[in-house]
Amino acid sequence: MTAPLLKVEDLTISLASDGGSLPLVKSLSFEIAAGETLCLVGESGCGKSLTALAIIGLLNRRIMRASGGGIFFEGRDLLSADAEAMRRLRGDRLAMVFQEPMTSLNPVQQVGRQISEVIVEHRGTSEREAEREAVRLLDLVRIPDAARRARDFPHQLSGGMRQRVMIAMALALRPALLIADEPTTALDVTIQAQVLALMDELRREFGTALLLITHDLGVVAEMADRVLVLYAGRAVEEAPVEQLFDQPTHPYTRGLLDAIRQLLKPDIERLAEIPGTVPVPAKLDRGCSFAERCGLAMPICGEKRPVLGPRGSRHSAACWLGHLPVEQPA
Amino acid sequence: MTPALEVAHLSKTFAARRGPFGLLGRRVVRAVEDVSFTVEASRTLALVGESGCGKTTIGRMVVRLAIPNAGSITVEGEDFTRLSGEALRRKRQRVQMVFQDPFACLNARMTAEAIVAEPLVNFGLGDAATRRRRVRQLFDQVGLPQTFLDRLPHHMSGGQRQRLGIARALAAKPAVIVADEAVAALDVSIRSQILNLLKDLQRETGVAYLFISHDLSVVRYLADEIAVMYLGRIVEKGPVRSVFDTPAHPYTQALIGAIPASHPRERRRRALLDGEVPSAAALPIGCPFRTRCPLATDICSREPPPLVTVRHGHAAACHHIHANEMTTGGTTT
Ligand SMILES: Nc1ncnc2c1ncn2[C@@H]1O[C@H](COP(=O)(O)OP(=O)(O)O)[C@@H](O)[C@H]1O
Ligand SMILES: Nc1ncnc2c1ncn2[C@@H]1O[C@H](COP(=O)(O)OP(=O)(O)O)[C@@H](O)[C@H]1O
Ligand code: SF4
Ligand SMILES: [Mg+2]
Ligand SMILES: [Mg+2]
Repeated sequence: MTAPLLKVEDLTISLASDGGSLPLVKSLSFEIAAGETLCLVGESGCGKSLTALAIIGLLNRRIMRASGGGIFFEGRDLLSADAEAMRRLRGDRLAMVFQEPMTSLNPVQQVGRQISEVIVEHRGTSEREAEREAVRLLDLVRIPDAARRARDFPHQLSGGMRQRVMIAMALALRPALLIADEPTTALDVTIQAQVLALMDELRREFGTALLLITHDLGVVAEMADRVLVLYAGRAVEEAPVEQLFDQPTHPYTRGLLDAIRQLLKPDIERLAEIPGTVPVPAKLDRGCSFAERCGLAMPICGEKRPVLGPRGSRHSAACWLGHLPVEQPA
Repeated sequence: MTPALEVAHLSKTFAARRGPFGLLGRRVVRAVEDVSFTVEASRTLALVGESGCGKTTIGRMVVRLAIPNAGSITVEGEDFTRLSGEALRRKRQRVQMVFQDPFACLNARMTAEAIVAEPLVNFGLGDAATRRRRVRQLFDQVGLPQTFLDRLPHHMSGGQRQRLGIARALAAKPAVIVADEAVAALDVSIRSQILNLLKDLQRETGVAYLFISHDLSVVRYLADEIAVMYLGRIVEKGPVRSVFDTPAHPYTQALIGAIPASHPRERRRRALLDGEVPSAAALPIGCPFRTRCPLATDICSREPPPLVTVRHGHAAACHHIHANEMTTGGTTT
């Protein structure tokens, strides 16, 4: 087997605080193969964005510290790469799209210009050539009348179009890995469907691997090859997408799946609930972080932390129920 | 029985500035155009459609945060738009609103108790002791622990803040609650909790909901009826099951089709609707949907289609409803 494109090994991200450090992402490990789509799912606060920022080297180093085995990308360890090396990698081999494109677009520069500058900087092409390429990219992401729109400023575009511009910019240098953090969360479903279809098409065309972050299992169902479910900073389940939807084993994953499935069923008397809320990060965590919300918790769950263990081919989960067969509702 | 809420021929326009810095003068935005619907007590009407189609504007008019240009809003038999003074104040009590982000509408320095008690104070309901009792009862009703009474909202989770917003809306025992994107900002696990709570409260109190959502997938569980809006107009309206199972308007069909799959084997891999909603300041002549409609013909760019009945209690505004139903069978997966 060839080496994976990205290999995250035992990654811990901690917040430096007065009384020491508070771990927010804990011992996370996963891999992405070239051209593959891995979805990172979980509710807000579970550590998805921090994980993405650690990979792309944009963690706020004054307060956050990433440590652990390493983040190996195309063979090199990004965890130990210096700021200049990371700056060169970003945009070139690694690119990222955020939920709110306005935070990463320059409000006072025409969007075409913002794309062509990236191309000039990294590829050293002439400005005219880079401008032509920018228009071609805008056209590729289906911005109508791309040559004219290239001269628009970000605020003149709709939310959906800005996200397309971000995708065009991210793909300008044909990165090997695109990280997209909730790229469609702020969009209407109709526009979300357009943007997801576009990302998938471009991924196939360019062979780009995709790390797609979302809290929406519907988006996962549409896009993923494999899925990693996070809860309170830890991986709780990982599986190929069909396997995860057919045989979710972690009670948290099952709760999330029930939440989307029941919504669309007619005549549901009452929706299944995951009681309570996601715990706030704490220094001490004993046992399974999900135990207090879990309907199936046993005494051991509050005492010892379950580790990720195999549940089938390429399928693993961190739950004490693992040794017992779990019934699936019809 | 008198309906809790009856809205008839409601319209609202805004004057918006044109061009950079408003240099090109003003133009008229037709945010809501001839909208009518009825909600009975203990029932829920869901108002759905993409952003900018006029849902919030309707909600704001219903709670009297905005004044319509035309049309009537009748609450428990009385035309709200014609009332003033004391009569208006009493009627306002009957219609309350729950917002998407309770932070935006809750004063961050007020305690949870003060927030819930405020409408009681404003409407002069009960003495201090009665109000204390009522607030405690409301906390129980929405599932907030009594230990939260003196908490500040920013020390509460999103789901807890939404419970607080609901308690506040319920305080004055309204006949109608307008819930505008009330679950849009919540995580899925919390969303189910809040939807269940809203349903329980409706069973207990008989309140009618106008449930506004840009996301069609969250309305099925709660709604009895659905009204689909496009560019300020209702383009389809009917019982929830009928609209989901046999949508008649091509826009409703596209909205349903855009809901992400619930299993990877059902994935779509293509978008069903191209383009975006045009500006409400430059409405297409004829059918408002024709610029994105796969079925549009000449007549669609000449005449606005009227809302016509397609089945019992189910109506849609499209010139080609019947052709459409024959080709698609009106079915969705
Ligand atoms: N700059 C920060 N300062 C303090 N805590 C933070 C900061 N950024 C993130 N966190 C905390 O880290 C946890 C994970 O955050 P994040 O990765 O943003 O979650 P997600 O993207 O899954 O919603 C949360 O509990 C969040 O409150
Ligand atoms: N105060 C206002 N001034 C000018 N235009 C407005 C105002 N409020 C809403 N609009 C416009 O009215 C239309 C409907 O908006 P809104 O009711 O907020 O839609 P929705 O809630 O469905 O997203 C939009 O085109 C919006 O830009
Ligand atoms: S009236 Fe015409 S344009 Fe409008 S929805 Fe029907 S077919 Fe489409
Ligand atoms: Mg995030
Ligand atoms: Mg709105």
